[in-house]
Amino acid sequence: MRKENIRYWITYLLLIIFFILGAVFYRQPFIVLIILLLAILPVFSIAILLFFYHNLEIKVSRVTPSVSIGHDIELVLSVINTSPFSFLNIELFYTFGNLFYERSKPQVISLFANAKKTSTFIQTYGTPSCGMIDITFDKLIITDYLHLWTVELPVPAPVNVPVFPKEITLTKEVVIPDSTGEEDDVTDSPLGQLSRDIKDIREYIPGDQLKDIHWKVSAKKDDLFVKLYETNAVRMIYLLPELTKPLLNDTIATLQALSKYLLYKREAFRIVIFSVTDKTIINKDINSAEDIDDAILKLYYCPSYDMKEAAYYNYKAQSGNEQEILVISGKEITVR
Amino acid sequence: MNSPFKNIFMSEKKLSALYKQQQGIEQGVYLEKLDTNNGKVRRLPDRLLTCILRSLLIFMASFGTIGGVISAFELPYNPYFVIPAFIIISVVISMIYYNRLLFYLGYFLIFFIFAFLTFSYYWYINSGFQAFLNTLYGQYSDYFLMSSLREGTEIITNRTLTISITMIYVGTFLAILLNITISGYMNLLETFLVTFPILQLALYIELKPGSPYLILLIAAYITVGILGRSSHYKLPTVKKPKDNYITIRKKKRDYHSYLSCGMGMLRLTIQSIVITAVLIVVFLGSFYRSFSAEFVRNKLKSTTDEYVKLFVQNGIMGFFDRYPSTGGLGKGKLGGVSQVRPDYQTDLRVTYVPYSSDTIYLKAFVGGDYVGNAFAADEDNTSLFDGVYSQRSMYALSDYTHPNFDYAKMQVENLDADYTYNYMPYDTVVANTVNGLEYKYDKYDYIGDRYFSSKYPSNSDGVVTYELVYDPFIPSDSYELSSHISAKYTDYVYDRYTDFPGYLTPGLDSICDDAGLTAMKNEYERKYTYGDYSKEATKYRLEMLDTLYTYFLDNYDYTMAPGTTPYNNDAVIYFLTQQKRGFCAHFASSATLLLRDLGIPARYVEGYVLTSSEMANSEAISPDTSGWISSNDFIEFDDTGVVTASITDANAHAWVEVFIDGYGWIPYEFTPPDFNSGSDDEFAFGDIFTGLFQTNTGGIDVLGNTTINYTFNFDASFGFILRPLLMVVCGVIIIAILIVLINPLIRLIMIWHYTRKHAYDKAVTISYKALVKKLYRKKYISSRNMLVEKVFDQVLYSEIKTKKKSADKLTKLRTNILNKYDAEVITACIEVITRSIYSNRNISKEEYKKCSLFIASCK
Repeated sequence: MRKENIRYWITYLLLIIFFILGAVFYRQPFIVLIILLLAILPVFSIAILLFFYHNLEIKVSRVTPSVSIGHDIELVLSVINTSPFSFLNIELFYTFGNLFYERSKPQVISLFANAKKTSTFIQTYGTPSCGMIDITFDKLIITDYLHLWTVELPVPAPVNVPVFPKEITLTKEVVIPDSTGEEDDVTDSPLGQLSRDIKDIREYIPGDQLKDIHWKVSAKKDDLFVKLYETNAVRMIYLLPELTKPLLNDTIATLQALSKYLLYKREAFRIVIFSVTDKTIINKDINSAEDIDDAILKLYYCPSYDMKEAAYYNYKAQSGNEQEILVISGKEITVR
Repeated sequence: MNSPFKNIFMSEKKLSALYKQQQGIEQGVYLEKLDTNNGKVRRLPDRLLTCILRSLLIFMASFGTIGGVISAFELPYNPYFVIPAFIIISVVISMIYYNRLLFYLGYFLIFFIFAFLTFSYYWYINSGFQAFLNTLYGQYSDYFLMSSLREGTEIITNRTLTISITMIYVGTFLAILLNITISGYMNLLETFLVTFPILQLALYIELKPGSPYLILLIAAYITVGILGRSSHYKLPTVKKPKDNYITIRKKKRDYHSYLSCGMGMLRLTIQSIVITAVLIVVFLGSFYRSFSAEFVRNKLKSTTDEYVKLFVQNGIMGFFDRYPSTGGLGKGKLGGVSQVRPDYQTDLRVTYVPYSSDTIYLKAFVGGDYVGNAFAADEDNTSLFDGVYSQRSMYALSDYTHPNFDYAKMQVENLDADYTYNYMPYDTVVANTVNGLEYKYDKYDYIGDRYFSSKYPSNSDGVVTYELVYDPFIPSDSYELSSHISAKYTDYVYDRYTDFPGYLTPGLDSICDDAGLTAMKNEYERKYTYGDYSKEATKYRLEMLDTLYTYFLDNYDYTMAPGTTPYNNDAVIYFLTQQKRGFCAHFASSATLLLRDLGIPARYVEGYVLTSSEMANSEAISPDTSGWISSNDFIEFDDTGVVTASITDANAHAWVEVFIDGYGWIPYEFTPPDFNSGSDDEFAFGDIFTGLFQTNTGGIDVLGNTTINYTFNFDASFGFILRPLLMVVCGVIIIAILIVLINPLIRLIMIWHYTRKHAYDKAVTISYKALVKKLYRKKYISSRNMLVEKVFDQVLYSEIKTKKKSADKLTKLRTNILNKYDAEVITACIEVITRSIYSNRNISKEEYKKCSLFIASCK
């Protein structure tokens, strides 16, 4: 029995006393019958609960693994009831939230369990912001029909669903900071000076510079091909996203777009995952699209903040990295 | 951040959208919606089923109530007509909640159909209703021993038809109410309040509704209670039919509750009906036989009885008095008080030496002319008695020290009684000296209140001292014409005190005929003449009085709560011919007028009575009686002394003075004793609890009123509650023991059965499941749904996380098992158990034996 049950006990006892007084004064068989029912029903109610609550189980049976921003997350709760009794009062206490923001106030869902059946309940969450959605189940209680007794069952494991930003394309030219490597045989590119050694060729896509077109191959293949140059082995680009709250969506989207662009350009770069609270630094080298997602997921566990460029100054002070880095704040990419 | 709820007039939809937007801004995520049934959009069947199930509950409650009452009164009806009609009505009414259109139009349609049917079948409904009321009044009259007062006209005499139609009519009305309490709120209390009072019509007078109706009604109560508590009874909202949940946002938490579940409701309803049926079959028969309210005597029940009787006889107007209804003198007013409610405060304090066990009357008001619903105070006719007074004024106290006349003194202190009256005992002979003269008043000439009020001044403490002779009227004695009664006075008495309004004559004559008094009157007139003071004439007159009293005793009931007389009805005639129940004023006034109708002079008197009860409860003042009584010879009691008795307003009384020719006025008691409630008419809230522990051991006092002495009697009060409760508790304990015993027994039988059939795998499975249940209960394993090897791994090898006591036991168990079996055997057993449970292959007998032993050792 729990504290919540006490008021129901008191109400119930008062009800019984009321009817007993009625029976004492008026001595009607029907009132006596009602008293008997009132005396028996709690026993039935509690017995049903204690005998059959083992037959109840709640599972998170399906959950959307990840979504992009604006798409809904679906969480399916399955209530499995193998007992012959419906409607034992099931209450699931949980909270949810995006790790960048405050958590929700406690939520309670009152579920029904159909007898000998699995009932499914779908929760749909709207995602206006990217980040890690966390749904944590705190308590699962089963109460008998009359709310006189309560038992607690193990809760399902927490659910984490990342919300990725919408893919965008970079609209501004990005200036790559100076590298620390050799500067011979370099050429200009939107990302700065790149090595002149041709590593590979690929098909032309709009936006490629004319000077990179490999005319010979293009003529042979009857299609446009561009030259891919060997990057400088010692050059490393640092991307530092600022997790300023109002700009979060743009920051993460820009980070993703820039990362993809750099990856496409075969630049060597790393995303700096910096937590402004515990000052931990993770430099995530990006070699594939999965690495970008992985870095973003790690980033989702970092706290957000209200100030601008808090990450940059803290990172500078913490890391001692003197190299220029690309700081991403909203849609802005600045070389610092 | 501004609250999204700042505009309280915002629509629910907008509020919800705003809330989500707010959540999105604050939390980066919001709960969009909840859904059941795995996201299927179409919720129509469940919605329909929910409505139909609610209609089932409405049917159960309404038909259980109406049918229960009708069956209790044993009225006929056609079930093949009524039951389908109730079902259709319940379904139609519950479907009002199906959607918005039906919700708004439904009530209008039902109202118009209801009105149309009312006009169309008015006479059927009216006749059925009259038939029900006639039966009800008849039953209530029988129960309360009242004369049947009502006989409504049934225009259509086919009761089966009229009652059936009336049941449907009333049932429709009830179903509309129940639709609100059940479909709208699923509220048990409201459902109970709507149905239970109707059933009380029968239950109050111990009529027994049929068991099927009670099963329906109580099952409806249980289902409504459980559904109401579970909150899974509501339809998806009319506005948003796809939303099958409600969200209640509170300060600390949001509460989301899924709404209806048709199949769950159906299952629950069926389970409730089964449970109720079993309980009623088990209990009801025995309780109907065991308990009877006839023997209930407590103040609350008596008070309720009085009000019920008031209501049955006078309707709702019976509860409203036309003048104050507390105790004390009514000053001749009749019929306007529904119930006398004394305050039991002391009005008079009387100091005297108790000399007789007879009731002592303290006379105050004398009613002369009857003026319709009241007796007018008698006039001051002193001029008539000039001669008498002048003659008597010569007497002094010493004149009454006749050997035949013992005298005594009585002091009456007026504390809270009406100060316009003296409260003078009969046989008063001498009063205080006023203006140098000593007056004496006796039984002959005391005619009114105003005249003597000036003659009996009180002292500074408000105490009046009366001196009286003990000279009781003895019917068997022979009385000669008193020298104090002049012919003039006798003429006056016969002229004045046999008069009454002429419109009363038919009513009074019919009662006199019925009581046989008219014949006696004729006989009297044949044998004697008025004014004949012979012993025979006096005796015959007294016989007439006794006959009238017996008639009252046989045909009328005493009650402090008779109800008011309806307007435009004469109180006396209404009492005599219809009401037939009342208190002393009713009996005294009726007797006065009946005697006048018979030609016997009579007058209506009010005052206080000093009974043996007050005498017994009096306060002793002094054992020395000198100066209070002339001698102890005429006193009935030994060793008595001077006492002070308190007289409350409950002792206010009305009686009749009858003129005995040649002797004068004698008081005569026409009020029959109260056999029903006795002296427990007073009811105060606190008495509820004293009444709990009291039982009646009383008798009838000298006034004829029943007295009730209460003593604690636990068995009588609580016994009948305790017995069934103990039965229930014992029953539950026995059932619990049986459950505990039966499970292993069934298991053993099953194992025995399977081993006989060589289905060893099934026998092992049963043993293993029992083992897992036990291990889980002892918390040796974390779940009941684990693989076999994991179960034994947790039992035998895992880290022990349970409490110390439990851990010790588990350690002991482990040691036993591991000492008894080596690892290979354990592995082999686990393999056999796994095979038994998860495969179709059977196991050998040896394997079974080995496994059984292993499982047994694990317990």
